[in-house]
Amino acid sequence: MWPDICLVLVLAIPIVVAVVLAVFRRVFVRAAGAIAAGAAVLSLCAAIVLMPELSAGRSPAVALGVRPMPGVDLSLRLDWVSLPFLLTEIVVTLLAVVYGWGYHRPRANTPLFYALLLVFGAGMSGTTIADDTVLFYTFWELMLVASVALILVWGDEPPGGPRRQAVAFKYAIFTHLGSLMVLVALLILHDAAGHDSFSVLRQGVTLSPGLTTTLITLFLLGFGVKMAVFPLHIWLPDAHTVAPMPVTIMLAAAMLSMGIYGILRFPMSMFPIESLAPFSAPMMVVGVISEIYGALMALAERDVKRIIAYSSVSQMGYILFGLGTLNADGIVGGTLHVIYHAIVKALLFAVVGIIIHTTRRRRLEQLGGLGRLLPVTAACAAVGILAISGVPLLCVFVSEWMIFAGGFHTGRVALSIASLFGSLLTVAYALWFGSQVFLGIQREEVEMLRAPRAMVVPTVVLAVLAIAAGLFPGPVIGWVTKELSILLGGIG
Amino acid sequence: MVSVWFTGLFVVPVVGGLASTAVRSSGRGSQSRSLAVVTACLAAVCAAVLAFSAEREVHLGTWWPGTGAMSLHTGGVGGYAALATSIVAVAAVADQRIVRRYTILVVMVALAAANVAFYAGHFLLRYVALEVVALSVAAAPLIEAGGAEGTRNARLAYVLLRVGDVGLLSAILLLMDASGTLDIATALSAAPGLDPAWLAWVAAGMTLAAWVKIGVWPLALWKRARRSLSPLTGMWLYDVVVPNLGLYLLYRTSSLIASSTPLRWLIFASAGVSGVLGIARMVLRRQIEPEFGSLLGAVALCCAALDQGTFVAALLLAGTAARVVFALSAHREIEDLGAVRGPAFYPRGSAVGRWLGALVGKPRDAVESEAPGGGSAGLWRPIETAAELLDRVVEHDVLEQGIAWLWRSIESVAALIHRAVERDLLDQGIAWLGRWTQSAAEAMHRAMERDLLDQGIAWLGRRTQSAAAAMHHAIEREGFERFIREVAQTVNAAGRVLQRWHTGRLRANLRWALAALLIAVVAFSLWGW
Repeated sequence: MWPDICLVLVLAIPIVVAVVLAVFRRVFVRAAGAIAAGAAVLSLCAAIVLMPELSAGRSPAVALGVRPMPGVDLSLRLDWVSLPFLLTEIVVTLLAVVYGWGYHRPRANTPLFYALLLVFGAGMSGTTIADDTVLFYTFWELMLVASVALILVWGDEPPGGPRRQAVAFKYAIFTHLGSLMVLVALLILHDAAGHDSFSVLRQGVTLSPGLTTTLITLFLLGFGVKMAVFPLHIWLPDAHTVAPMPVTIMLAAAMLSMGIYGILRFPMSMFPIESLAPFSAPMMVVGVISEIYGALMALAERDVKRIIAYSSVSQMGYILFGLGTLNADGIVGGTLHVIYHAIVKALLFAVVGIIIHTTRRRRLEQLGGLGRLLPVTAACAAVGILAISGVPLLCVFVSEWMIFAGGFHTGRVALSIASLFGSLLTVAYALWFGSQVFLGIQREEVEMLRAPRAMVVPTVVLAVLAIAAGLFPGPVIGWVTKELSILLGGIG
Repeated sequence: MVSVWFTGLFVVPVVGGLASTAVRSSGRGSQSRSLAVVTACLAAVCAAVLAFSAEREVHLGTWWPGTGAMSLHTGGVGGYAALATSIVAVAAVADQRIVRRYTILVVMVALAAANVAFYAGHFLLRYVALEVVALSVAAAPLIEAGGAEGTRNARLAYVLLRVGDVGLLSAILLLMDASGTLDIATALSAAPGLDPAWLAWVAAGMTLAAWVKIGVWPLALWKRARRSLSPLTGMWLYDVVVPNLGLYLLYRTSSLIASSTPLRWLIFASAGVSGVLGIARMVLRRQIEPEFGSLLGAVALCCAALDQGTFVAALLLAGTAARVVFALSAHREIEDLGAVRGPAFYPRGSAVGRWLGALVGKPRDAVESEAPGGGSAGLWRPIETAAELLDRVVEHDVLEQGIAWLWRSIESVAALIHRAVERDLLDQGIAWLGRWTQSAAEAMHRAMERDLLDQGIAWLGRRTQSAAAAMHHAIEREGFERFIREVAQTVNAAGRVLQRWHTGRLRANLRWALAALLIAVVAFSLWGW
């Protein structure tokens, strides 16, 4: 009983609090941030309570008792595929909300800002724990609507940069195109199975080989847009640049991973490995291209926020490469990379937020020598930069090792070596970014503002997480490995 | 007991380094130095005990599932290499005078990591240790030189060392795939069973890693940073630790490297170029370092290519001392140029190095002391010119400019792709698509809404109106109304006829009726009476 209630609470708390904040917004102008953080903490607690249940071999599930049409039964379920994503999303939401305290000065519409952040987070959580296609797609669109609204109303407009309305529409249209592909695939699945429950769909849907290939293609393309792998990434740099920093953190650290969750949940959970085998090499190739392309674009960029944004395109390439291997090492490595990328990307964006806040500059040629002026931020940035470079004892090293090992297991040695050597470009842009911003001399005289503690504390927490996850990867790998029993007909 | 010595070898340097740094931060420089010396001595003692202990394996546990238990192995060349490196560390730390606050920490972390790498019996452990050493190498110029040059050197050193490590990692993962383990001995023993193409990859990866670390042309550019470093980091870290790690790797994998014929020829060719360059520079600069390490490395690479692992081991151990001596003389030169502040050099080693350097430079000195145009001078000049040319072309134009060119090329290619793909193709493409969609929509709107629908509806309206008018005319006026009119007229006419006809008879009938009524009235009147 308790686990079921907790599963509902994971979603209900942020949604109810968001509604309260929106309705009583005049009352909660100052307290909105704290209330939102409280909601995120409670939601996190509810998720943590569910972990012993999963460890005991039970999968908490709730049927909501709503049947809007025949064959549609709205329900929630937590399993080993959802758990890493759910925890990542809630933690990232919490940190983004806390970061928002320092970033966002209270105004009349502040409660709405936090309410939408919570709805955005709930959209991701709901997508993750939905156990039927209707609920999945509903939450999938909810997160899009919330994030578009956040960009549209609170987006930054860098001088000479794109307008937030244009960016919001571009983001909405592109990701919605991807969503439509997913929707078509879901409708075909529903039509074939006669039911929308994931449990029913996982048991096997009889489809012709051609239709199976079409479905997998639709899913990969649709979720690929959300992952923002090359060449489906075009919405990402602008959206990440214009979005307010807490939203950027959520977009980069959590929302991109929704695409990966979709790939794991649908094509990889519902079809046998034989059906996916023809997609293995294309996925790996696109992964390598995305990895190298994103890194090159990060090298070419001069806007600090866009550098980190392109880095996401590159990192999603690693993940796609890992999933494309279709073996245990690659898939576990890819899923681990989702978690570690979330930590490191949130950390780097948090650092960039502090830089922009304190210097009011965002171009590399205007920055430099900040290491002496912002020592704590510089230390955190060093952790983030070294982590994303794949330096051992920091988190990303472990996932990259597993992804590359998975690549070599496929026998596609040339692709794997290309991916390995492509990672040198990641080292190059990360070091370039770090050295240009924190080392050398300050290129422009700037009257530095003080970095709010609310921005620094989440940054430090993320840096500590990056180190701890790198030193002690065992428990997280243990959880993630359990997803293999669900994927590709149980490859674990 | 072995575990205790291992703990001493790895943990003591890190703890000692931290403590020494903390003491130095509180302003007690001499105590910090003493602490660093004691730490290095303790590490050296541990290394000595372990180097001469019996062969044993110590398990450290599994870092993460699937990688197997990590282990350390005593005995063998690794122990001696660790001992040699640790002894030089003692000498280097004891003799250092002026260093930055964090130098000792970097040195001690590098010492611990290098010792782990020498003793590691597990690829993952070894790779991690090598990466930590690479980070220390990159940190040294940041700490000691700083500024734009220090930053550039640090970046270059780390990226180049990482190139080698990526080669090593690819070899490790291929071996792991073939053998199912990361245990070095087991994985290496499984290597001969690999597919020849894969074996060539493994050999190439290992060679690349060793090549970079040893610092043989053309992969020695990462060592450029040491010119601006103190002897402690410049000599010990750059000339002893990293090359020793590379030589040890070469020693362990020499049989693999020798198995690949193309790789062997590549090594011979590079060693040849490296040898010619090195000797030319030695003579030109009257100085054995920094070429000695590179020459020694080239010889070691050739030995490995010939599967002479024992010679590689000998070069590692014997070469350490020689490299130290020559490195010290090189630092003397640097100090004379004012690159390093304070008396940071080692008089004795430096003197030996200078003497040997002078010995190497003797032929040139002898020639230069002769009258210009003399017999041997005439022979010497072309050689000198050729050597200078070679030095300038290869080192400056090819390597330094080449690296700078490569970096600029990557940047410009990235910028080009960024401009071409992101801005022109994607952004402009989307903008074009948007504009195209808009104009298509407008055209469609014009065609459908205005031309087809609006005009159509108007035409239809007009047609309907005229049809209605025609229908109205045809039916209402010409047809129905006319019919009705005609009917009405006919009826009217008939009515009139009937009226006329009927009216005449009625009048007659009325007359008769009146006459009858009169008769009836008369009759009833008469009868009643």
